Parts: sequence; structure tokens; C-alpha cells
Amino acid sequence: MGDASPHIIFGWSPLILSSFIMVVSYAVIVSERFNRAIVALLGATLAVGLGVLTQEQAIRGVDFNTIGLLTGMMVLVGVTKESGIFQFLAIKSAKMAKGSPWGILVMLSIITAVLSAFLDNVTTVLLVAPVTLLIADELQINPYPLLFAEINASNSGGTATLIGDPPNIMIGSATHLTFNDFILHLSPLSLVVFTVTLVPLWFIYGRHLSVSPEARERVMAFNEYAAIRDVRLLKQSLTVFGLVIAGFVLAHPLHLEPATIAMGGAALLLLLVTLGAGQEEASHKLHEFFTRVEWVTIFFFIGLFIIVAGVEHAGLLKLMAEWTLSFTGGDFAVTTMVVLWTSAILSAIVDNIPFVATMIPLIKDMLPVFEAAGVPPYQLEGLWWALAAGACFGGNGSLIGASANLIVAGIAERNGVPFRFLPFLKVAFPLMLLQVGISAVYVWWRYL
Amino acid sequence: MKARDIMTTDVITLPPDCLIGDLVRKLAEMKLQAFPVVDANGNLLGIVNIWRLLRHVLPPYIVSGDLVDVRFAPDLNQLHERLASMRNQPVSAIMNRKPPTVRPDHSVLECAALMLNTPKTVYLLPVVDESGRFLGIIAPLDLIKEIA
Repeated sequence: MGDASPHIIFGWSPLILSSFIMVVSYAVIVSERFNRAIVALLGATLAVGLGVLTQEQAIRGVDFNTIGLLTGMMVLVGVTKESGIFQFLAIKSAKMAKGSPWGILVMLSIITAVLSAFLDNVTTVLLVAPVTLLIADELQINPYPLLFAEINASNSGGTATLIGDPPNIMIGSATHLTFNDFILHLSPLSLVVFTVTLVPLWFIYGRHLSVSPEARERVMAFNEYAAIRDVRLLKQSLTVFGLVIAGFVLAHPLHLEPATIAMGGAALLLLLVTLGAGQEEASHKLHEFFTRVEWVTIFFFIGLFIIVAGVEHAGLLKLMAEWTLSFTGGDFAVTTMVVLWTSAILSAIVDNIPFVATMIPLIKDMLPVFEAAGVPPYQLEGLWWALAAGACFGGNGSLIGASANLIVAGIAERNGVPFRFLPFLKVAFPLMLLQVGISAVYVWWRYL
Repeated sequence: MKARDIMTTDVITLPPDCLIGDLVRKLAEMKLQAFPVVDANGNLLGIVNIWRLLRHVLPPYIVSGDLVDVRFAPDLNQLHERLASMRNQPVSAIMNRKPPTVRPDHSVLECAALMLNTPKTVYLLPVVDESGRFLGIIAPLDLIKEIA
């Protein structure tokens, strides 16, 4: 039953039908006329309903490791943020800069990058951006440079780890690459890109920022310790977070997948926070915490995985892999660079999640060719790092390049700070090219 | 029982050009939380209450709920600045121009349902006639006075 072949409607070509479903779904997602989760789920329904895939094949196409990791981390962060720790970190960092506006820009960027490396980027900017607005108000400076730098930091920081950005989560899940591999291979790149990006940011924004001594004092008067709302919850959250990170580091010898660790951590933290509460209160708390999961994102992923499974089964990705190889002449170095730059440019224009979901099986189809050509496994990994770096840094290229960018823009606009597409693009796109250029040098130096 | 039976008709109203500085003083002196804004012909123009005022004084990221907890900030300079800058603006700039209203022949049950189902910051129901002339107000207490 599970391996039954699908019965495609009217005997149409599965290749054409699945490609049509994918192209139309992606086009509608890009147009942003309808919610992307709805579009992905409709596309998935069509793939199964029209017989491109059986339901069993569709379910097998969903990467539940990615889904589990995302959901688990969303619960963990949703509970932890109640403790006030993230606000504490943001204010502490601003105060460490002694109220200097450029120092605050750098420190808030560092906090955003570090948090984004371990939390989802959208959550990070949702926590940091409002505090930034308040700090900028007190400093009486335009918050735009700080918010711009935070967008860059969230995408750069997210590149650093397996759990930092959805493309990395998907790549980690689809390959043998572990949490530690991401730390060893992408964190150094992320750090270099982050640091180098600060130089143009200083020339563009930093050197124009100045504040009065009174304004500095106002920020220094903030009491970051008052931001901690619940010390017990803070201790519980930090303990569980510590265990989860340790679990990611030790996942390989423990033979555990990231989803198991994240879900285990979420369950443990939920148990701890409901311990001692009455049944009704515990049930109320649980209900509240589960609503923190961004179900729209989760269902978007599920639909997308099924659409991609459709084109994969129909053989489109194999064909695309062959085309790519014929375009690059089967040269590994050229292919890696094409993957890096294409990922970056496309991720700046469209959502990088569907792109990476499509690229993963495509790259898997290309690997045997390079293996046969004698490319050593260590070099082969370079292809995955090129994809990850391109997709993540590409998000910095435009306002629509990543969800976090749009979230910051939304918060800024609500507060009377205009965040327009073109002015953003003018600064962000060249910066993204610089970042991908650095990545190209890095990938070339380490893997080619 | 109808709205006209429970409404208060002896109401202090404000003209639309009343300054926000005067509004704050009146709110404090009279220990009231809202005023109907009525023009010279007795037509209801809107309602101004303490929540509307706060919404305009507080920074938008707090009003929008983006930043809920600000206990780390002992004081906000901008709060004083915003209040100072608003002092000479008319109440018409911040009043709710489309408050929920009732007619005199609305039942008390209808009034109660309307009050309960509108945002918590609305707790004065103006009573107006068909032409929009202000007749009186209903406060939450008016709805349950009968019990006493």
C-alpha cells in the first residue's frame, strides 16, 4: 500500500504536472497575494489529488526532523522569553556601550547575531527591535541605522549554526552534517562577515551618529535587572537551553537527531513550568505556550516539502541537476560558486525556504557525479556550505529577502520610521554582495 | 426599561476646541475618566477619555504592544516631551470620533451588551437622538443601579 504508484489524472505527464504545481505555487507565494502556508498546502493537495504523489509518498516527503526542530525551538523560545532575559541582554549590551550610539549599534547587533544563531531570527528581532526603538528615542537619534544593522546581524548570526536559520535546519536535516559541523564550518565565516560588515556600516551610518551627554545618561539609567520578570522561569529556561545546546553538540555520539533534542527540551521545560500548578492552571499555561508556535510557518514547511517531493518523484530535480552540471561543465569549483551566487541572488528576491527545499534534493542528485569524478568528501561538503551561506546572507540583500527584515520594517513603520524597499535595497544589496564575496573567498580557500 | 430611564442627563461636556492641557486638569480635578465632546448646537462629536490621552502620550511601540514590559526604564524623557507638546492641541485631535452610541429607546440589555462587547477602554455610552444630538450618557454603574 505504502509503495503503491500514484494514478495521475488523465494520464498526464507527472513531470509537467508537478513542475506546473511548483512554479504556480512559488509564483503565488512570491506575489504575496495569499498567505504562503495556504498556497503551499493547496499546492501539496493538488500534488496528491492530481496523482503526482500518493498520500504515503507525500507524508514521506515531509522532513519531520525539520518540523520537529522548528516546533521544539519555538516552544522553548516562547516560554523563555517570558522570563525577560532577552530584554535584559539588549539593555545590558546598550549600557556596556556607555550610551555611545555607534557602540550601541554594535552591541545590539552582536546580541542580535548571537541570539539569532540560537533562536529563530523573527523571534530575535521581535524582542530586540522594540527595545531598540525605545533606546533610540531616549538617545534622540533616528533608529533606522540601528534597525538596519540588526537586520544584517540577524541574518549573519543565523548563518552560524544548524539551528540559526531555516535553510540551515533543512540542510542539516537532509545531510549527515551535524551541529558541530555547522559551528566549525559556518561560524567562522559568519563571524568574519559580521565584523567586516561593520566597516561600511560605520561609514554609511556610524560616523553621523551623535548624542548629548544627557541622552547617554538617560540610557545608562535603565535598570536591566528590572527586565527579569521571573527568576524561577529564567533558571529553568537557562538550564533547559543549556541541556539542549549540549544535546546538539553531543547529538552525533548520542545518535540523536536535532528534532528529538529540541522536542525533548520543549517537553522538559513545559514540565518544569507547570510543576506545582493546579490542573486547570497547568492546562491554561500549556495552551498559552503552544499558541506561541508559529503554525503558519510549520504548515508552510509541510506543504512545501510535499510540493518538492512531487517534482523530485517526477524526476524534475534530476533533470535540473543534469542541466546545472552541463552548464558548469561538471566542474566542481564552478558548480559550487554557481550554487553560492545563485542562492544569494535568488534568496534576496524570493523566500529562501522554498529555494533551499528545492536545492537540497537537486544537490543530492549532483553529488554522485562529483564523487565519481574523485572529489574528496571534505570538498563535497563545500557545496552544502555554499548553499547555506548563499541562502542565509542572501536574505540581507533586500527588504523581502528574509522574514526578519519584514518584521523589523513592520515594527519600524508602525512607529513612524519609514522602511522603504528601494532605499533599503540601495544599501543592503551592495552589502550583501560584499558578504557573498567574502563567502566565495572562504569557500574557495577551504574547500576548492 | 430603556436607555432614557437610566441615562444621566446632567453631564459635563467639552467643546472640541478645549485644549488637552485643560482636559488633563479637568480629569484630575473632577476625578472623571471621560468627557463627551459636543459642539455649540449640542451635537455629539466624539468621546475623549483618559485612555485615548494615554495612547497619544505613550510611544507607539508601547501602545501597539510591541514592547509590553518597560519596568527597566525608570523614566522616559520622551513622555514628558510628548505631553508638553500636546498641551496646546485641541481635544478634537485625540477624541474617538466614532464612539459606540445608543438611542433613548434602546433596551438596558442592549446597552449592557454593547458596553461589554466593546473594548474595555469604552465605558461611557453616549445617548443620542436620530439627528446625533447629545442627550446624556450611560455609565456602567447606571446599568446595575436598579439592583441596589
